[in-house]
Amino acid sequence: MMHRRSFISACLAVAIGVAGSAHAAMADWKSDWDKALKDSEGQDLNLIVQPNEGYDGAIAAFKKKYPKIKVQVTLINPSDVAERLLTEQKNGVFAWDAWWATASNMNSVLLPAGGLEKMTDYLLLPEVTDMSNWQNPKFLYTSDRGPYVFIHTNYLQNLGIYNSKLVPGGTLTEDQLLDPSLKGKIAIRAPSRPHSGTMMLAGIAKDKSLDFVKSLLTEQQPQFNENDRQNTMSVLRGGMVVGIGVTENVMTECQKEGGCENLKPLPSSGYMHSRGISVLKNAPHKAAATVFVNWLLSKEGQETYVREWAKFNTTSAFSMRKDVKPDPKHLDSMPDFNNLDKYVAVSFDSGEKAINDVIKTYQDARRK
Amino acid sequence: MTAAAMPQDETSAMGRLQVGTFLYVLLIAVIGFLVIYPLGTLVVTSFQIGALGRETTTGFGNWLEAFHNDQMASAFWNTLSLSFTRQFLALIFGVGIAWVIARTNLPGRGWIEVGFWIALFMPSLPVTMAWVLLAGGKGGLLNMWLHELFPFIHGSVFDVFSWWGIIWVHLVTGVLPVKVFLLVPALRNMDSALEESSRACGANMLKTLTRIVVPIMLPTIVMVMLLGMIRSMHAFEIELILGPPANIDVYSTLIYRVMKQEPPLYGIASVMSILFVTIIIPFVLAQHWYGNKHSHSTVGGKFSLRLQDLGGWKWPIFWLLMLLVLVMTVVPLVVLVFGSFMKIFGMFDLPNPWTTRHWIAALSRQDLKQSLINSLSLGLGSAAVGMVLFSVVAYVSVKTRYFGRGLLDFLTWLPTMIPGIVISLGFLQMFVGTPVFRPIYGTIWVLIIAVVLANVTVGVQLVKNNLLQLNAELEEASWASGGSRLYTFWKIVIPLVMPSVIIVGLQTFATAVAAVGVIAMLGTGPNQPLSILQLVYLDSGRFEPATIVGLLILIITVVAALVAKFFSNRYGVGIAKNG
Repeated sequence: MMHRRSFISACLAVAIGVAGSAHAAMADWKSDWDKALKDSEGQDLNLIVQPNEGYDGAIAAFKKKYPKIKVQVTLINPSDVAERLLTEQKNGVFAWDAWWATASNMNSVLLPAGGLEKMTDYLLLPEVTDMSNWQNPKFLYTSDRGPYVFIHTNYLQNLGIYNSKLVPGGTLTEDQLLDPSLKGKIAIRAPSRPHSGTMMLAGIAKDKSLDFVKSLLTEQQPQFNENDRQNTMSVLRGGMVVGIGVTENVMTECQKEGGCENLKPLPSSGYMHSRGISVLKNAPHKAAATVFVNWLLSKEGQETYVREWAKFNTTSAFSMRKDVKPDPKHLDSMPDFNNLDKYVAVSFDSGEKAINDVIKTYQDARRK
Repeated sequence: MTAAAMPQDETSAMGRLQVGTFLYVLLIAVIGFLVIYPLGTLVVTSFQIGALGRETTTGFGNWLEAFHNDQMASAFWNTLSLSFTRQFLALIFGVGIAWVIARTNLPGRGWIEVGFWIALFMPSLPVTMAWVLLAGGKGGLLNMWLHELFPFIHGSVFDVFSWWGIIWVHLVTGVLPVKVFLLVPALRNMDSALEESSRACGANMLKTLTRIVVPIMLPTIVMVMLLGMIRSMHAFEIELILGPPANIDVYSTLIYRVMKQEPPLYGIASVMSILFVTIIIPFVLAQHWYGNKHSHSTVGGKFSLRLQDLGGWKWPIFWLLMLLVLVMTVVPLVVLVFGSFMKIFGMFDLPNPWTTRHWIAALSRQDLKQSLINSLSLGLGSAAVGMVLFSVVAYVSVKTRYFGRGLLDFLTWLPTMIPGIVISLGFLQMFVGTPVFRPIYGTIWVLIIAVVLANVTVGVQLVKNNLLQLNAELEEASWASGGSRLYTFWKIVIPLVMPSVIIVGLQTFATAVAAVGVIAMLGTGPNQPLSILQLVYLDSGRFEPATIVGLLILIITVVAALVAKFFSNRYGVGIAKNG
């Protein structure tokens, strides 16, 4: 009897303790959240984003919800801003709060240089911190080096096209990329840094081999373009047969408008890209950054992102959050969340090596 | 300047001298710091091995790596051959065009000159995009029309993605107009007596031009050509867009690619830039040597400007030049307007290729309005600062005898020698690395300083040329009446050179509004001007909004060109005649 009473008492004590600590934890995040909200009023939020209307729409919704935060958006491509951020930080200039973009440059440039804050220090809302709300938590942060870049959307991308009218039989296989008849007729966005051309080639290297890519870059004497749109146009208008590293929306838009009927996606498994958020080192407006990252990663934020992204884009309007419905037109670009390991994950540590291999191969080829 | 004309009162003269010397030293220190710092960072960075912003070691690795780069030789050859060819062509046509505008009875010559001014002020990025649309390979409009008219023609007859395509776009976007811009005023200052004698002796128009006008104008022509060569050699944007499909790299695009790769090799880019400066220095020294050897002269009392009669050539030349002006100005403008209404820029073969949605989207964007305000602030700020700075530097360089003023003049040439994208990196390091500048980092002032420094060469040279035309008697009269050097500068010199200073200001304004490379590393959200917004859109493959932004820039610069021409006509601004 005594044992039974003791057991019940102990259970009660544990239950009360757990409930108490849960309540305390809840009180903790609530008070922290309220403080962040209060402190953020009147603060600037210096935000770096890629130029895409999808981001703009979501940011407009954030501004509407938190009108007392003055959002200053800088539109700039990740590969253009990464080194500049490091130069600023090295000289003691910490001007930026958060960076919302595709995440490969965050992971490969800023993170190793210590240019980012731990995201876990900024995540407060339980609906965000509760990992059970997210698909495959192993793929929520880009690196084993720490929780610095939070990925809210992993998506598949194939930014390669070919003109079926100019290929014998009308169909191109990945093996045929080395066919001598395509010599000088392949346009590649120069894979000198992590972007669509490099990532596509990393995908091809995974399908075939790095030597295959090396032959593609050298023996096939491709036309190298610096710009993805220029690369796309060289296939659309310039007589090139294959384009590797093209603009995401142009082909879809063109076909939607009744043109480009000869253009087909390149037969490659492509790669997995990731869109994420990070907080810059010594962010000057921590409270505003806290409010933004929590809102963005909340159900409401992710639903807003999916809705706005779908308005202007043809892929990746879905979230790693389990409770956010994907846009039905974007399901083709949705990866198998349970088997993300099988893709070339270009924003993650594993993909970084694949990307660097391609860049090195290209640089060696150019030197020769 | 005569000794008798120096300020009279010894004590006050000493005081003024000290104040003047102090101001001179301050000026040389400020200019020196602003110009040398970015160059210094190049030298330091060239010895830093590893990516900038991360851990680096010191050594000669970058230098060795740069010299092992096989592409350097071909890029260097492309740079030289492209520069020489377009300078050569521009000079031949430029002298001829300037002469018929300045010295003949060509109908509508004033309007044709306005056309060249507009072409000069038009920014190269949007104009290049227009030429891509017109003659960008098989899908270019001209080639498509040709194929429709003559179905037996296949392939690209007109292709801007080629060596000659690059030459053509350069010629029509700036190289030819700048020759006309610089040579017309100089030709106007030429006494027509010699031409009349030549014609009286039976020489025809061409002979008079080649045997009389060109030899007389040779010093000016050589100066214009050297200035053109220096600027041509670090041309960047046109080659960046048109070069890759034709596998053409020039030195500046090679540097750009080295800087943009992962990891960015700023060290190697710095080495290449230093080598580039070394290559350009002989041209700058040649320009200095030639300028000093051939003294400037003013218009004399016997000066007469009697227009030569073109006779039967009058109308053919008129129509030819009108066509050229249309091709340089109206055609790219119209093409860009059409391009901005296309669903997909450059895709004419859609069932219905037209839309207004890009305009609606662009005009509803808050950042476009902010960028427009930033561009105007940048243009006006740069023009104001530039007008004051360029005038003072030019005055000190031409009208004073301070020790080392040649150094000041030389310093103003340095920013021209470094490719814009590289000097932009130097500016970034200067602004974030110097405590005095840090408070203004992220503001429009950073961009203003960068643009003014990038324009210092042309600005100072233009004001200098005008100052050289001024007879010293006016200043001497002021000094003789007790006026200080500062008073004389402010009350006598400035009013006399004001029209050219205003034109320099407008030219700086237009350059600032269209500036890309030199501020590429400095623009941020709150201070991001239209030109950087356009670059961001272009870089991210979004040509439709980029075209709209480009059009806005174009409209602003065309208005600036018209205002500049108005001032020029009203006040008769000219460039000094040499020799």
